[in-house]
Amino acid sequence: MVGLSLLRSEIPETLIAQRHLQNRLTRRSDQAVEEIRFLWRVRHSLLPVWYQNELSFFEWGNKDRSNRLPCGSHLMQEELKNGCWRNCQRVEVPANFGLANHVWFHVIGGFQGILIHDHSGGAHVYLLTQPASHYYEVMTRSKRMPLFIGQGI
Amino acid sequence: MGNLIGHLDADCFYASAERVRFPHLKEIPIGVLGNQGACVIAKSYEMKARGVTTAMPIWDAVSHCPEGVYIKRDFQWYEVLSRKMLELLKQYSPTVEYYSIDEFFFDADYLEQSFDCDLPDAVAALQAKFLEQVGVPVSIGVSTSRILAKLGSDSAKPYGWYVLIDPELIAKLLQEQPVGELTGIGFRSGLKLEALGIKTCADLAAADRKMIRDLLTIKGEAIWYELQGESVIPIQVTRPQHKCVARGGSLGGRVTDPEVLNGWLIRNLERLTEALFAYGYQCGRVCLELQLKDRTGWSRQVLLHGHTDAFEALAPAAQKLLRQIDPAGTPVSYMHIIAKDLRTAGQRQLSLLDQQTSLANGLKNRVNQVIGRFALRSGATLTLPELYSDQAHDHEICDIYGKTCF
Repeated sequence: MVGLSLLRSEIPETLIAQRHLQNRLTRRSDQAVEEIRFLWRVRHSLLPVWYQNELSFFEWGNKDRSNRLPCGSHLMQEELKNGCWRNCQRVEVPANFGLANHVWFHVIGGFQGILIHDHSGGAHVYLLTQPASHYYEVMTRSKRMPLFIGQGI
Repeated sequence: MGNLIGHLDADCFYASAERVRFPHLKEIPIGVLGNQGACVIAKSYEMKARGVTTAMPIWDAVSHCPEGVYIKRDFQWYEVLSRKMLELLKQYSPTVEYYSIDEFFFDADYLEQSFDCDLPDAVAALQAKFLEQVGVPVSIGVSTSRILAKLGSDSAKPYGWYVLIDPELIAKLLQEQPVGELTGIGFRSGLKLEALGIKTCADLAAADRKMIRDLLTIKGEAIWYELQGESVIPIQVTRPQHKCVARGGSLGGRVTDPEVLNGWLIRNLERLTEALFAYGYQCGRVCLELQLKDRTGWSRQVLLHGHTDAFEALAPAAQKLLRQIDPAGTPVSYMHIIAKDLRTAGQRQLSLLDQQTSLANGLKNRVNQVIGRFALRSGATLTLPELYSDQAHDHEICDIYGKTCF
């Protein structure tokens, strides 16, 4: 998955201003509600996260090869289960729409992610993935899919 | 004015139903995908305007409408709204036909009295009631026959209505509508009519009745009468007897494993026996239809020992048919099990070899009625774990009972 989108109405205006999210605002049609997009391909990719009962924004994964954290946007759930990652924290990533392989799909409860701190204390959030269901694989042509919260797909 | 028939049709129903529970989807181009995630089975008007058509593969749809949002279909939710629409319409008409999940024919004679205003205002008020109480936009046609009423609602879309009583207005709409759009005029009938220069509904209405009867049988003649405004096809409040009942569909890819194929067979059979029980039918023949590799069709049927709806009788018969695939291991992509030669329970010849539903199966049905569909199911279906882990697969459109059409 390479992007997600959250309704503007779900993000407090103060946070939008504080995190300079205005330039991520978009609409799918003239009359549609405004959304704020979080795409992996942009230089400073962020993810919205419910952290300590507050909506926060953290760096999405890691793009810095000098960092000891894995490069990429996702981590496999299987690796987490195998104990490959310690000192990480499961978090909820809210979303209304997800984007994979150019296909936008509807999201109800968001995704599961994990939050990891790098050596300098910076927080990074990775989306957790699992093998794709038949439906998701056909829809997006992706072999892996995110862990949906409260939604079968 | 007496003897008026109404036709009420939801606008892009599946998309509208999603917007009822997720209002933020309003004005967004949305496409509802089928159970495999491969094709668009319904789309909003915004997506239609970008060139996406029903049954279009998702990859073509994405190229037409990259900003579109795709949603998994949920027939359980659509049925909730469909029945809500049915109940609301019954408040304004004593005679309602549940034609399909989103279409209803009704006796429109009581509309003026119900809303205490003249007919056009009453139709507009009924339309507003649906938007207010169900949340789904509908289009309505009212006229003196079913076909004209449906012509009215079709022509009024989206979110419009027509009262078709004025002959000039009727003539105008008949002229605009291609004859192939009429319910009951299929592809082959359309070709026959086109060969005679009959292209629009107005052409058909102006044609000689006897000639139409000779060409399209009594059904074509009924359409001709209806186009004249004479009602000959009544509103049906109960579903007519089926000729056959079928359950099945895509297997989500090519299946060769005999155990997995048997799992699909048993799943479809459990759905079929459930449907037979719900309709009160017993069948004398069972037919297995498959689509093999290269899209070739394969079909076999077997005569049963007397009429039955018992899973215990149908399962071995269907499994015997499945074993006849030659060569074994041929990939199968579609499967349908069809119950034929139907009799209503209680109106059948008893057999010496009669096999009734066993205690275990009766118990299974009762448990599932209380706990939920497929809560108890045959162990043979354990080869399909993903299918049963997703509740969206529990309800198909054919599981919505009471409709007079598909």
